[in-house]
Parts: sequence; structure tokens; C-alpha cells
Amino acid sequence: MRYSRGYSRAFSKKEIVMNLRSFRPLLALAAFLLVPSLAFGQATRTWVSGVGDDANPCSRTAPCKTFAGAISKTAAKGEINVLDPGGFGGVTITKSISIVSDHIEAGVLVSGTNAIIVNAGATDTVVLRGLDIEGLGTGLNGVRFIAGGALHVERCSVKGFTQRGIDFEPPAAGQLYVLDSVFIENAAGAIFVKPSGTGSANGTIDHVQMERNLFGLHVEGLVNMSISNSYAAANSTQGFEALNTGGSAGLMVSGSSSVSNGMGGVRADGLNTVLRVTDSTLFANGTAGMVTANSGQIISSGDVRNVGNGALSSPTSTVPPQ
Amino acid sequence: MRAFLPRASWIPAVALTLCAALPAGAQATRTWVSGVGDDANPCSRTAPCKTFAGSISKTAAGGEINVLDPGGFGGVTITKSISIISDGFEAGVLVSGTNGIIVNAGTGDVYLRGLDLEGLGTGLNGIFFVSGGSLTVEKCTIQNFSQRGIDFPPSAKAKLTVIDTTIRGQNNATNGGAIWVHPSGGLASVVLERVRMDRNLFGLRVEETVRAVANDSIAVNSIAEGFGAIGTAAGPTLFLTRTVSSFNATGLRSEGLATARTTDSVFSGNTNGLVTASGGTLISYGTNENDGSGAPTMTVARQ
Repeated sequence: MRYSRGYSRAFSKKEIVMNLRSFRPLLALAAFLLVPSLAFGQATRTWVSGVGDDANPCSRTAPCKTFAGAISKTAAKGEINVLDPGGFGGVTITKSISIVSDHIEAGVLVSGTNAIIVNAGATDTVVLRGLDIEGLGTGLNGVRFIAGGALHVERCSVKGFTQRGIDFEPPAAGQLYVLDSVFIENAAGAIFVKPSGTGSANGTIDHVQMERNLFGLHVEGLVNMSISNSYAAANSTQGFEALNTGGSAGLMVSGSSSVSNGMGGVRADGLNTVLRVTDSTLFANGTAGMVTANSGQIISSGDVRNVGNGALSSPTSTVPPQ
Repeated sequence: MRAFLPRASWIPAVALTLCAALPAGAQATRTWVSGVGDDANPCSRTAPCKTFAGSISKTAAGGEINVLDPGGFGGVTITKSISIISDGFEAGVLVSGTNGIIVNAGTGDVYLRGLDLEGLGTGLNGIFFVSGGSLTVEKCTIQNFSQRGIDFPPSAKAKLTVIDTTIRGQNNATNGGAIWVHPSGGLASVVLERVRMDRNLFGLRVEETVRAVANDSIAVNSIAEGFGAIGTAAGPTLFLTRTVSSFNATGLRSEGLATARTTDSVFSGNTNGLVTASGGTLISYGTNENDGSGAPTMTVARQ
């Protein structure tokens, strides 16, 4: 009795092993079928790594090498994440996407071209967070936006471009948000907002530093922007400038500093251009703290420190705070 | 004896099984998740889990789930005091069609730091707070949910603190909104510090028994109000300091029994700057910039 039980148990174990062996070709086939489906399907979250390969499916365990390689494998509205430090190259974005790196070097280093182009649908949202965008003194624009719904630039540094740090030219209604970012040595300006055609733009800039560019922030056309808690320093021309805006309030500057710029601290140029400034400091600018031209208006709330500039200046009007 | 030997060989296997079961069954005060972990693991530093949901059952109440390396760790329902913390690593919670994180913690305290919540336009709420003593959300990003970024409707006394967090794209015209605090009972105490909210139905909306303060925060491009307080049965209070509310339908709204106060804040480019309705009170300290319509119901001198 004992013997037969032992025998039957041994036999069934062997049987199981044999059955498993007979399944091996099937398992291999299943694995073969699975891999192409991962490669061609688009994932909502994809990964890049400094040692990845764009032939990979951009999964967590088989990451891609570049943003350009990952974007085609990322579903619209999805996210490209950074697995470990690397240079991930320039990319053209044509759909809603977030490219996100949290405290891991995510380099976009280009020479002679635009680093990131956003040419997306009218309601698409693009988020760029934690990128180090470097133009080496020859790259064109850091981020060039020519179509899309909204662009968010957060915790990025944009440096060394021959044109602009951000060139925001929406052909329809576009929104721009720049938070916690740094713009250095962009030869044609840090942040340039000028809708093309019948487009318009609004948005917010908060906790942004702009140093040694042609200008800090320039808004032009049908634009309504707000900049807060930021500073523009040592730019060649103006710190913050509004030009020929069509709206009733082109630019609101609050809690910010514009210092040591070559020309104006803040400047309003053109009929219907209104630049409001509150609780801010305008100091050591070459021409003057406040500069107006062509009937542009600067409205102060009466609490602006406007001292030590090339010439004395005053706002067009002062409206006391509420 | 010969027949007994094969049976004896089971004993180590049984012992191994028991050993493996012990760490899994026991709860650690600190557990770990990794993008390449496995929820069959005990969630230890050397054998991390794969998801927050998989690690929470292995984490003791009051304990901490930490993120070992970047990954997508999925939605989770929290039923006890717990901290989920990622410092410097992508810690993704990407969901479609469901809530990202549900907090149903009784009177427990929940702390979420460094999470990236993505709703892909179909997820319900980023964080849905059913119950808990407190919820703290720090250094998180919450975007593209079809309902609220944070929905906070406690039925008992509870606290909500949101710090250094970005909440955007909850712009469903009916159900959207960044932060909605609407207790059905008890007092909800709310603090916002350096919170950025854009393209939502509203930024911060508090209703009924709420005491809320928002400092150094921003609400822009909201379909309705950037900041709002509404009281029909009780009088919520909302105090804004150094906030920016721009390009919303309404910059700041105070309705019914509500009292909103604002100091050193900017309301620019709103369709309506300051709005009071149904007797709402809106108190200024004479230090706000408003380029739109409306005015405070009273201005109080600073002391």
C-alpha cells in the first residue's frame, strides 16, 4: 500500500514535468506574440533611460533612449517619464503629452535647431517638467510653440539659444504657463509671446528667473499675461515689455523685480497697451524704471519701488489697491 | 523508513512556505515599491513591491511606503494612517475611469508626497477623501481627471493641507474643479501653500463648515471662479494672502453666509474680479490689485 502510493506520486510528478515540457513551444509562441503587441501598441506611460534603446517598447524594463523615440510609442494624453539621468534629445510634439523628470537630469541639448517644437491640436495640452534645455549658443529656440491648446513649462532651465527660450506663437487661443524655471543667455529673448494670425494668448508666469537674455518677457498682440514672484536681471533691453496688445490689460506684473536691464524695467508700447505693475521693484535699469511709447500705458498700484534707474520715471496713472 | 524519507523531504518545503508567509503576513512600518518590484514580495528594501495597493496591506498603520526608483505604482485605497512618499523619483498614479487615490481612513492621518497623478481625461477624482482625521498633499501633480483634483467631503472634523502642488486640467464644465471642500458634517480646516491651479472648472471652492486659508497660491483660467466660498446653511471663511487669481470667469467669489478675506493679492484679467452674491461678505485690507469689476463689501485697515 505504502509502496504503491509512493510510486503513483512519483509518476504524477514526472507526468507534470512532461506536460510542462510539451507546453514549452506554446509558451515561446505566446511570448513571441506578446512582444510585438507591446512594441506597436501605445502605452499611456513610457520610459526613457540614458542607456535605453529606441528599438525597445519604452516600457519600465525596456526603456527607450530618446524623447523622439518614445513619443511615437506614447498614447495621446500619456506621459513620458525619465528612469535615470541622460541626454534625451530634441523632439517635435504633435499631441497632448507630458514629459516629466523628477530631479533626474533630463537633457535636451541641441545645436543649430529648435530643441522642442510643439505643433499640436487646438485642444491639446503639453507639459514639460524638469528638463534641462541647452542650445550651446547655436540652437534656435528652446521651446517653439506654433500650434496647440496649452503649454506648461515647469522646473526647466533653458539656456544658450540664438533665438528665444520660449517662442510662443499660437495661431488660435493658446495658454502658456511657466513655473519655477530659469532662462539664461537666450540671444533673442527669454519668453516671447506673440500670437500669429488671429490667435490670442493668455497665461501665467510664476517664480521664473530671466538673466542675460535680450529681454525677459515680451508680450505682443492679443495677449493677456500675468507674471508674479519673478525677476528679470541683466537683460540687454527690457525686463518686462508689452507691445501693441489688443486686450484691456496686456501684462500684470506683481511681486517681481526688474533690475540691471539695459533699457527699461517695464515698458508699454502702443495704443491699447496696458501694463500694470504692483508690489514690484524696478532698480538700476539703463534707460528708466518705467518706459512708455506710442500711447502705451503703465498703471501702478502705488507700491512700486522705482529707484536708481538711468532716468526718473513715473507711471501713466496710479490706481490705489483695493 | 524508506517510505518515510520522501515525506521528511517535505518538511523543509513546508518550513520555507511558513517562513515566506510570515513576512508577508506581518506588517512593516516602512515598506518599499519599485518600478521593477513584485507584489508577491514582502515590500522590503531588498525585495520591494510593484504597486501602492500591493504594499499597503504589508504596511503597518502609521507606517510609510517609500519609492525606491521611478515607476507607475497605480491607484490605491487607503484605510488607515499611512504616508506614501517619493523624494525625487517619478511616482506615478495613472488611472482611467476610476479614482486615483481614495482616502477612507476613519480618523487616520494620511500624507502623500511627491506623487504624479494622471487621469487621462477619464479618471474620476485625483484624490477622493471619504474619511480621515487629516490629509496632507505635498509636492504632487494632479492632472486631467474628469471630476475633481481633490474632492474633500468629510462627514466629521477633518483637516486638508496642500503644499507645493500643481493641479490642472480638471475642466469638465459640470463635474470638474481643482479642490472642492464640502463637508456634510464637522469642521473642515483647509490650508493651501504654494498651490498652482490652472484650467479647472474652479480653483479652490469651499462650502458650508469650512475654515480655509490660501497663501502664495495661483488659480488661473478657471471656467468659474479661481477662489470661492459658498454658504447656504453655514458660513465658511476663506482667507487669501499673496495669491494670484487671473483669467477666470470670477477672481474671488463670496456667496450667501460665506466670508472671504483677501490681502496682498492680485486679480487680473478675470471676467469679473470680485463677486459677492446672496449677501456674501468680501473683506479687503486695502492691499489687493483688481483690474476687473467688483469691489470688497468692506475694507479693514491693517493693524
